[in-house]
Amino acid sequence: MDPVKIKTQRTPNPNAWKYILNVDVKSVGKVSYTEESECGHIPLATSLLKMANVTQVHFFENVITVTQNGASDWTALDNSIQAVLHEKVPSHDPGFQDNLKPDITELRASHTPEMLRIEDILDREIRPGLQADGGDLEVIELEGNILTIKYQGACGSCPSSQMGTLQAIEMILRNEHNPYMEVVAV
Amino acid sequence: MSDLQSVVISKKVDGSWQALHVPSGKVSHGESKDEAEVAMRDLLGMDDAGDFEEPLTSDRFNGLAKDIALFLEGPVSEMLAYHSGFARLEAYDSAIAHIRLGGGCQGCPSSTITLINGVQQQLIEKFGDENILDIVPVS
Repeated sequence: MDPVKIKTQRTPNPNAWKYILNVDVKSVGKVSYTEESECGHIPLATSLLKMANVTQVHFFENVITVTQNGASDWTALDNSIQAVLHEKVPSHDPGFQDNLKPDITELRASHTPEMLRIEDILDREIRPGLQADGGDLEVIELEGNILTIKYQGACGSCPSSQMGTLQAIEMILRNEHNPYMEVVAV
Repeated sequence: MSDLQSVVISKKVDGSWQALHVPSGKVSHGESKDEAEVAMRDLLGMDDAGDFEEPLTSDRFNGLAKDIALFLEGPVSEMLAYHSGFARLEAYDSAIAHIRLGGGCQGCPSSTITLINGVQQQLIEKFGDENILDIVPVS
C-alpha cells in the first residue's frame, strides 16, 4: 500500500482544519460525527474524536475536516492528527456505512404535511451549504409560526449561523412557505 | 461554473431559481439557474470567469508590506475561497496591517472573527509578532 500523503488546509473557521488525503475516506456521500458512540465501527473516526478538544470530524471523499473547541494549539494538535491519519488511514474502509444514524425515511413518515414541506425546502435550499462546511441543522419543533431549529457540527459554533444564515433561512421560509414564519435557533 | 463555494443554487416552489451564499446569508434570484448564478457572482464581485473583479493591492507596496500583501492574496485568499471570499492589504504602518476581507466575507458576521483569530495568527506565524503587532479590519 502506498504511504498516506496529507495536505492540510485552513478554513475560514479558525477552529477547523481540512486534511486532504491521496486516498478516499468516504467514497459515497458525506458524514459528520461528534461522539465516539456514533462511530464505534470506524476506528479512524473514534481515534480522532478521542483527542483532547476535538469536537467533530467530517468525512467527504478524500477530505477529513477536524473541528476543535479552540482550546488546543493547532501546531501540536496537527502533529497528533497527522500521526493518527498515517496509522489509521491504510486500514480504513472508505465504503463504510453509517448504520448508527437514524433512518431519515422512517423519521419523516411521522411528520405533518406542513413539516414535510418545510423539511423539503431546507433539504433543497439550505442544507447542502451547511453540509459542505461540515455542519447541518435539525428542526426541533414547529409551534404556530415559530420554527425552532438546532445547528449541528461546525455551524453550531459559527457566528454566521446565528445572524446572516439564520436571517436567510427565515426569509426563504417566509417567501416560500408562510409569510409570518419566525425561525429561532437554540 | 463550479468555482462558487458555499453557494446553494436551487429551484424554488414557484419555478424560479435562487442562489444562497450560506455563511453570509446573501441571496440572489433568477428565472433560470444561470441567471441566479450570474446574479450571485455580481453580489460577490466576481466576473464570469469566477475571478474577483477587484484589483490586487500588492503592487502598491514594497519590501515587507509587499510580502504581506502577497501572502494575503495567496494562501490566505486560497483559504477564504472556500467561502467565496478573499483578503487584501490596504495599508501597513508601524507593524499594523489594515486588511479588508471581500467577496463572500464582505458583510459576513464571521469575517471579523476569521480575521482576528485565523488570519492574524497566520500572519504572525509567517512574519513574526514584531512585524504584526495588530491588524485592523477595513470595510
